[in-house]
Amino acid sequence: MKKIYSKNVDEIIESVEGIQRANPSPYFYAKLMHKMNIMEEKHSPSFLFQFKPVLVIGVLTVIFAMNAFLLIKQTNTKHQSQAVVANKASTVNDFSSEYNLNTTTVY
Amino acid sequence: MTETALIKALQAKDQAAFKELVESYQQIVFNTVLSIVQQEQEAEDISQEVFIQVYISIASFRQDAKLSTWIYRIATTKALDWERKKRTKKRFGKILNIFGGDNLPVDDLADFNHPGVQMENKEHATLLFKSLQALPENQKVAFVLIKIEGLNYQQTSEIMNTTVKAVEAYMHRAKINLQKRISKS
Repeated sequence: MKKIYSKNVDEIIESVEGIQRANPSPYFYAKLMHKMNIMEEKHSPSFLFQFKPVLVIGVLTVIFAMNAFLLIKQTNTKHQSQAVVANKASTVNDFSSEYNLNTTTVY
Repeated sequence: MTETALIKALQAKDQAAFKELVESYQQIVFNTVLSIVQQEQEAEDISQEVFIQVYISIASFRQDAKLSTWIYRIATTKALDWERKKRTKKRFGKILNIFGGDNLPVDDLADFNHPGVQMENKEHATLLFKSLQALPENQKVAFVLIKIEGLNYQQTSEIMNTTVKAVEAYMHRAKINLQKRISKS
């Protein structure tokens, strides 16, 4: 291997004297703007935040009210159906006792 | 446009001002980053990130330092961050190769030819840039800013946020380390 002497070492270190600045590609700014546009799209607010807060709160309130209404209505229907079932059972018992059709068997 | 006016326009997110900033500083940013990372495509990507950082952070720029000093600071920080990540990736690749035998490529830099070096110095400069890779970060940044960017010790100390004495010490040690490495090669 070629031996590098101290004078040569100094020459190597000084080889960047008078160096010119390197230039980026001619489309540097265009590429930069493209990159920034992509970044902005990625960080744009979500669909919900594109509307005014008043509108978002209004829509959410309506949805909440509809949910509450349906829940209450469903609960009431459940109670009513339970009452109907209980009513039906008592009618059958009354009928069987009236015609002496009780199923009590004595062995 | 004066520097103060340019900063005000940038803080107001003026696109024309941003274009002016990029056109004025793209060469110094690219040259600084390229001299540290020594890969043209990576240097261009990092330079773009530098300007994006400037665009985002200009609102909080308090003008304690000159705009150019601040931009140089961002450029050197981003370039050194990239180098650190690359070193970590390289170490991880080596470890995986030892244990897993996956034969992951341990990405070593090819010989770098800086496009601004004079023709008769090309061979020497290639050897110098190869040796430069092994320098500690502070010494490398000081050498790049003074020898390649052509800044003086005062400007370099402001960019590196240190004293002129400290920059002189970095340069002295950088030269000794470069001499050692070049002599070995």
